[in-house]
Amino acid sequence: MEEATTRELIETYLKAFEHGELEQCMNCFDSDATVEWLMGEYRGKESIEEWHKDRFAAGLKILRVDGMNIKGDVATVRVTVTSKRLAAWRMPSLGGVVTVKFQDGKIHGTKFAAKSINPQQNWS
Amino acid sequence: MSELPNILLISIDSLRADHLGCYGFPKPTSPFIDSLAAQGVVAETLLCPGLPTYPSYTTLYTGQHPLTHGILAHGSDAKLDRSAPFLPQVLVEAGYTTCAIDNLMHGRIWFGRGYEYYIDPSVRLALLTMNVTCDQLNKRAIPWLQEHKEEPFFLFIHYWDVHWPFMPPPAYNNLFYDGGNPTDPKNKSLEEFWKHPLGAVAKQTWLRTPKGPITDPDYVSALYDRELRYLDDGIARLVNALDEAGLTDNTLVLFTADHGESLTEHGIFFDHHGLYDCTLHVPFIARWPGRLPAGVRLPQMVQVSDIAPTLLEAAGLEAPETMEGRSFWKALTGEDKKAGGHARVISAENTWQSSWSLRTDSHKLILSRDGDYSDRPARELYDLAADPNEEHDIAPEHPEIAGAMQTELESWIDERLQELGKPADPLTVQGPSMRMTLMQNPDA
Repeated sequence: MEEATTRELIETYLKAFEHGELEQCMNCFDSDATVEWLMGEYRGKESIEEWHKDRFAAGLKILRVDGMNIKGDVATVRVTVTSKRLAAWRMPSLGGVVTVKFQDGKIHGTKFAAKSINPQQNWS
Repeated sequence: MSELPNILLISIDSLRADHLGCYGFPKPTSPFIDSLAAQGVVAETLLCPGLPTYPSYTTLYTGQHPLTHGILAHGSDAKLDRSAPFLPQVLVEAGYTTCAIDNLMHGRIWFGRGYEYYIDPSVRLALLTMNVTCDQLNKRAIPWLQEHKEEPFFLFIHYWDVHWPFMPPPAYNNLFYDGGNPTDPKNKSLEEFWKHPLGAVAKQTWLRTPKGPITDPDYVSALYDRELRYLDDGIARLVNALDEAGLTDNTLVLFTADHGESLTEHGIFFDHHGLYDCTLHVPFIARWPGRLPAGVRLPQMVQVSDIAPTLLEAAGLEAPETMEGRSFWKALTGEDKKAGGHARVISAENTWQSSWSLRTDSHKLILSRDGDYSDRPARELYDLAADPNEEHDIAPEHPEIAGAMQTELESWIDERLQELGKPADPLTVQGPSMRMTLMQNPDA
């Protein structure tokens, strides 16, 4: 896949996510897609839709995109996110890397890996 | 060889005693730890006077009750007084080389006191420092031990594997569960857990599988046991490395935990909340061939505050007067089998509720200063002989026993507060930090 296409697809998804548009987000995934979110794994569209609903309910927002790298059909996006739930757990924001693999113009796999932080420092 | 013995203090976060074979667990979770127990002395009833982690480890190090050292919650601003006694400080001043393989210091600075070496591989981890594994800790501990084998050393190693999230390595995936389908959507046994802040996060992270969320609590308990078996293998590697370095005869190996874990008991899911024995009763094993007998079990009640004075006596050192715990070293050696026992143990927790408990040989009274998220009564009483799992609250049937124990407990608290010059109970002042942070926050 052309890298320009990959960039366009990832930007479409990020924009839909930013606006909380569930249907638009789901249109970006293929039927066998997976989402690896921290320590859990969601597989299939129904499950991934549930994940999006949970994230939107938790108020997950992309605070900023810190960088993006495109190689073929894989987009690697460095982001900083926030959410009401993270704030409740005394984490005002969380940095991480989202790796998105496209296949036939759809997202086939997404993995969010958090950056190193020491949450215990937030207690003091 | 130095006159000071080496000391290897192994502490496991969230390990309940009764999931070890040497404490009667029927599944093979701990073959190596059981062999360690067979080579040394087991204290059958070691109890925690403070929950959760910070209060308990502060007690382990200071030899003081939480009411004395004043650390009764995770989230409070309370700090350990600089004058408080601290085990590694005493040992380093006595000539020990001290090392912690641990991460508590990053949460509370006093956990670094007295350590010449403080090694924390968890700073490399994302998100949860308690995800550090026994392999990651051993990778640092074993070379350190080999490098310092000529010195009298105190090595403290704090394993987190059986603390949630329970995520054992794949090699352990087939152990301890034959319940069928762990993600059966018809199983509603974890519905209550999902409403809890810890459960809500678990459902979307470590209990989330490609087939959906885990729905069978027995499977989650099996994950705990798998983590324990993985840890057991790791402890075997550590202790075997010590033995292979020729240090067996000059090293006291102590094995213990800061608190246990409720694995659904009492309506508490996979958490160290509640002053019940699944959470208060932790293991204690001491091995020192030639100095301690093998295969001995001590029946008396001892508590975490006794560990520092016991360890100091083992090293031939005087415990600071301000350490309140009682050494049971002579009970371990067999010189005085009754040394160090307590007729009662008083415990405090500040997690999802603030509560006190008084435990005797026969009964336990639990007094809640405020309710938690369930309908737990303000006063509970259990007959430990007839009901060791604390399932039948007999406070309504035996108000005379509950009343007498309540008077004893309240008098003890009042007297200690007076002696310490504290105007108010710090348990109440600091409050149930987990609940204040999360339970009262609808976004959690």
